[in-house]
Amino acid sequence: MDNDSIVYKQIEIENNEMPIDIKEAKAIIEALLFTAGEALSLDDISRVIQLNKKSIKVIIDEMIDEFNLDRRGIQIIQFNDKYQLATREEHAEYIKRLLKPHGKQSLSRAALETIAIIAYRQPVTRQAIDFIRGVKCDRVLANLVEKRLIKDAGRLDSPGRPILYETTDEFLKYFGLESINELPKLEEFNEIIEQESACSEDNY
Amino acid sequence: MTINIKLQNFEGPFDLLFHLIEKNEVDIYDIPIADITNQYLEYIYEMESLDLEVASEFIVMAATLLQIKSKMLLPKQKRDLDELAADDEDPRAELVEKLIEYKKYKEVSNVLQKREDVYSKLFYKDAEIIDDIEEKEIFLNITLDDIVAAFTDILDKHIKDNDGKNALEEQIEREEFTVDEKIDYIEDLVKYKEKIYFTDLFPSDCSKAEVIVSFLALLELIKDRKVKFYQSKTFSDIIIECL
Repeated sequence: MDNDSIVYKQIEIENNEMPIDIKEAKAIIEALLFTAGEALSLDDISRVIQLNKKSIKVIIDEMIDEFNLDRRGIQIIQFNDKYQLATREEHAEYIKRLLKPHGKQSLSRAALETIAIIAYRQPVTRQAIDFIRGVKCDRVLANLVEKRLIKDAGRLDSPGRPILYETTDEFLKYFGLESINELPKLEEFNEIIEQESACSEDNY
Repeated sequence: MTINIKLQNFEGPFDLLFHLIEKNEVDIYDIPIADITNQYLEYIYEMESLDLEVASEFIVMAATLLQIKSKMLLPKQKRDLDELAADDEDPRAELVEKLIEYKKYKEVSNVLQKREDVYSKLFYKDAEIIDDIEEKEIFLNITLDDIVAAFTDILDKHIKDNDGKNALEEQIEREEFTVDEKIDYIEDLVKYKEKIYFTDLFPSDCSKAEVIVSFLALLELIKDRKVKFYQSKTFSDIIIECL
């Protein structure tokens, strides 16, 4: 109930002509997400409902919980403050039986390593990536760009003016990340590597 | 040491090195360079003997390993690697650093792959394609021919009204107006009046150049989908509306 009063207070501040109740707001947001198909940002939704973004975020967070609690076949995913309707992975089997989709090709090891580097080092040049991996990654980069997982983010102000690469929102969605910060810190892997080396010492 | 090399497809020199390091159960922080270099080279030779092309990166790494190996062989005051003199760098250091850096990203890619497995099982609806509808509205009952015909009519009428005065200019005057200006003008006019006739755009005392520039501006606006236009029936005047 406290939640409701916060939202209502915010509606008053906004001075809307048509204050809508929360259930209505949730229904409208659900309808918007459904018709849009692709992800909507808080800006997009706020422009349509004319409610401020903070309220909308509160409402959507509630919706996410409700959808999960009710085990609805649809969930609301979020990435980079955008929202989208999606099915759940536990139902993938049934959906595949219905749609018989083209087998989604998973990324190659090279692609995964490359995109890992870009994720942590962005914006980063092709050369820097090549240096870390010890191999040229031209084709991998082209593939990742085509899949829209990375994008051209300007050029480095150095000889040759090489292209800088960054990950996209698609990248977040593809790996189920809400934001880039969800990635584990690189330092954590230091420990793993040190442990491995300790093991090999023992074997000696 | 004979090594049974199953010719795995290593994508790069680091891959091969990691394979050797793991295979020999070697501590990455204390790589026995001589051993590893020899095994690495054996692999390269094996590839070449099978007439497989060895990528240049592998050769570069081979050279690097040999260089490190030779540095390690140089006589030093202290060969005890636990106590390196301040200006005495472990020649393997740079390579090890690169290997560890790369290993971190390999670990990350494992994490990403697991996530990919899970999230590739989600399905989404594609965006609604609204463009189609707009397109139909813009060109109701009109073909390009209609536009050209309407324009020709205007030019003819214009010439008739002016007694053929502006039809042929002996001096080609500088254009006093640009397409951009006309674009702004038409946009404003349409926004203000919401609905105007094609003929409204051309008062009869304007020069032919102005008529043409106006027409070009109109085409631009149509292309940018800023206005829509239609005819209520064939050969009637064309109506331009704000979009």
